[in-house]
Amino acid sequence: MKQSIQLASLFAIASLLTACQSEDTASNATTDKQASVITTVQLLQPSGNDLSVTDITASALPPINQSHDAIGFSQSIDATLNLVAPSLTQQQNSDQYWRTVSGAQLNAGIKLAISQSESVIRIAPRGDNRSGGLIHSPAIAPEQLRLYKINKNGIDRSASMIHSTSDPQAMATAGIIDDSSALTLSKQASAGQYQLQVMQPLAAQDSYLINVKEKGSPYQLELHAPATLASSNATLNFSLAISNSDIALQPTATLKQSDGQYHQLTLVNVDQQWQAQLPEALTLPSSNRGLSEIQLDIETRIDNKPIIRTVKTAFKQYVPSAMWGESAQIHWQQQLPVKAMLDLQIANPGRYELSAVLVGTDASGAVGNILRSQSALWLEGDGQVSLIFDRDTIIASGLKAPFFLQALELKDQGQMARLSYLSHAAQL
Amino acid sequence: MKIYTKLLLLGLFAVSPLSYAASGLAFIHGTGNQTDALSDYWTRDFVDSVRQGATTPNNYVVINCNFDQYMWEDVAAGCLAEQLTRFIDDKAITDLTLITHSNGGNVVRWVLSNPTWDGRYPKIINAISNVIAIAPSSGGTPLADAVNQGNVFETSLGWLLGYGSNAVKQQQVSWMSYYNNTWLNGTAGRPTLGKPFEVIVGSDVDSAFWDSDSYCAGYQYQVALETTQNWLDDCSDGFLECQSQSAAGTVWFTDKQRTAGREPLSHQQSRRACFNLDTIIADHI
Repeated sequence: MKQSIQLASLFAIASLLTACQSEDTASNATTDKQASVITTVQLLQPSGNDLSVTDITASALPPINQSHDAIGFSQSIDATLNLVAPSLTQQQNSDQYWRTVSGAQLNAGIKLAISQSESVIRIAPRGDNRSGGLIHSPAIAPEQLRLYKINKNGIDRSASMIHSTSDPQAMATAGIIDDSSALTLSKQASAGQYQLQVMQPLAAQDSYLINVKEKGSPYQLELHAPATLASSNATLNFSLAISNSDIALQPTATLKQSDGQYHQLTLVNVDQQWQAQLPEALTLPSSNRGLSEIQLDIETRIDNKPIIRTVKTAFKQYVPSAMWGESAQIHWQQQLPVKAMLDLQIANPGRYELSAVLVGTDASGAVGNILRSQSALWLEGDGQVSLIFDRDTIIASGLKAPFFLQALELKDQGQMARLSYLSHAAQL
Repeated sequence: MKIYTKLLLLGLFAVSPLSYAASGLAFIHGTGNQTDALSDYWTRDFVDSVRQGATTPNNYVVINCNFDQYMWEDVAAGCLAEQLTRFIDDKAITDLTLITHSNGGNVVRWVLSNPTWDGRYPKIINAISNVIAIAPSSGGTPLADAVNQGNVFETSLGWLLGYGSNAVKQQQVSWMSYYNNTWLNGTAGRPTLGKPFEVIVGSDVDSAFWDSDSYCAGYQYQVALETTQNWLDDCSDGFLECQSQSAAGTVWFTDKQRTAGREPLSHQQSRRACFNLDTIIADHI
């Protein structure tokens, strides 16, 4: 911190010197004015991982950010930082599965597939409001749990397959705070079918989540799915595979929208890719807050072991509410770009943010980043957004023409969605 | 004449730099709706010990906000912005160090990454000189996924995640992956944060009952934390995997590299004065 104070002092002194320079520059305002020019550049076409909007649609949901303040911000960035286009997909792996069962089923005993002895079973009471009021199922006392192996002669009750248990209080203090109980399997447990039973009487309609976690299992279910989904898309494409096996999978899919509602989805296999089909009503986001999730469940057998897995991933459902024009106006002063103005066409009033990185060229012809500029404002209709490029920062970078506009990005701060991204936007 | 005045001002700068660069320290809690984070989240021992390392130990603030909500909410990042702005204005802070724990790191990254979201953010960003992020949940945690699965309408008490809140939803692994890719800077392949974001990683949980070190910050927490390691990688602080903690910014150190007795820091211990963590930070700031 002491060093920072010295730096701050130096910065303050430098600021004053800059002020001196600014005044000198101001005295040459006429010269500057003569040196100011405006050029128009065409934006390049999207490629690779770029994201673009071609038709805009109005969002019917209330915007999250309703601020009408126009805010601009820029800061220098590392000249050598590699500007990477945002990933359009997400990958998730799973070595576990979930099942929802009733109190009646738990009292009668449920069958669970286990593929390894080092497994953990968690039993979590869940809430249900289908009756109109919230019903929260009671926690299960660990001593009320029974776990037996099912062999070809039926349930083998001669040996408990429970090694240890944890009660809801212990689970809560460790970060799993949903009244869960958990048990670990004994070392004697082998892959196969088991019966889990709860001895304490439960109401028939009580609801419980059963979570079987098989840490370190060689059979990981791997999901690749989009990170975002525009409302114009009626299908969500994903790939699904299980490690150490090339067995064909028959998944079932569930969509959980950001309002918490679950919907079963129809799946179609097209060219070894899966398509989850979304009914029209589900293509629109149900809320701007939060994310949607797709959950895939599979059941199969590998090496004569029963393998059950659940995997899920989050994605943003959004409406393509705005798009930029085909060109940008670049304002120059003394041969340096000081501002870029882009037209925005919008489908609904809202708060939109534009950002980009200004890139320059050194004496050897190598390009380097100079600064990142961001600008957000509230628009009632189509309008313009300006990105300011600080002249002093450009000079300090030592980089010169040709300049480029890169990592151009448009976000809707009302929906909290990225609408467009252009890795290489233009040469200025 | 004007030039003469400026030279005079430069002279004043040269002899009294401290009057123009006040330093300050802010402690930013993790998930939870805090009203007395000094007592309920950090402990006075920890805060008092850390701030002794500051140039002006009395220039500090302990943030109390509702981090049970999504990070961008007005009661979360907006509240943080309000309290930091007041602190910066009251003390004329130009050199601000933030010390965050757990999800507090995400709220700070939200502010650093989204200067145009709120008119108060740019001034705060310009004042920040450094962020020390203790066990930040930058990559989320599988425990948040476990809690959120199924219909959860209420949950029992818990000190780590809160009450099945939106902040818990946000810290699910795939949710944080989305936010890191879209709204938060500082992870691999994304724009940098613009300020140092130095991470302290907790790598293990020590719960042997014969080891007195297990009792720092409460033995009962330690035992339970080891239970949940089943849902986590082998390298974790009982709540967050090491790769989640180190997903954003740069790793300053992993617990055993610097703690007294090379003891690991569980997620509970990393906000307390355990194994010299407080003095390590004090010596650094």
